[in-house]
Amino acid sequence: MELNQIISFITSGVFYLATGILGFLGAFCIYIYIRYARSPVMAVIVSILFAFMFLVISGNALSLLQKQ
Amino acid sequence: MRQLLFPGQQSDESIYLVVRQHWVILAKRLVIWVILVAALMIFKHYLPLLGPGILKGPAAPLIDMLIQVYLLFLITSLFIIWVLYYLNMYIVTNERIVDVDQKGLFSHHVSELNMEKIEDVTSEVNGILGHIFDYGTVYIQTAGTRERFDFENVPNPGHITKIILELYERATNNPHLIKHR
Repeated sequence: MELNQIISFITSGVFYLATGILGFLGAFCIYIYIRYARSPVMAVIVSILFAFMFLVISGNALSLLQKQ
Repeated sequence: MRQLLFPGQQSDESIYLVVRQHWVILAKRLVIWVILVAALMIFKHYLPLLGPGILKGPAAPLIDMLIQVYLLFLITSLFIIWVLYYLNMYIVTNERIVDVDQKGLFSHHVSELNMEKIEDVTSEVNGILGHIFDYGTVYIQTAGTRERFDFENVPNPGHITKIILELYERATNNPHLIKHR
């Protein structure tokens, strides 16, 4: 294996593992927030804001990954 | 339809107090978060100084990816900080005291205490920030299975203690106000 291949393998591994774990935590956080919040409407709005930012950053990371 | 604040809330139950931790506690956590953001900015600023070709070499994609993952971590941790702060609350009604504890993402704990089981209420203010911003802990000694209820880092602990004692006196002087479950 060449150095570039090894780095590419590590990079994609880091991306998928971290995005998976953080995505799971974020999704669970949205679930408990909406379930237990005093104002579920506000919880939904804040959750959408968070989900939007998360998807933008992870989409950016994915496009970086595909450019390699 | 009237929205219920906690599981088991009665429709005729009057809520006197809904209190969360003081905003200084949230601000302390946010300061740590801001330090982590600043660390990323400093790292990005000084990265080219580590080596002239570091942003064009074979390790460049890995560094880019780590920065993106770190951003994901930052945004998720900010959301978690807010949710944990928001979901931790203490409720005082005319019938009972409810302690809603969200300890971490996977632990949601609700404790209730009937007014009649209160034995002693104490408030405590500690530290410089506690005195400046008037926040502290209210300890409620009970005769129930859970020996003590703690309202941790709540604003105006003295005022909360006064409200609880007034409700306790009102409930014990008028037993009809307390429904035995």
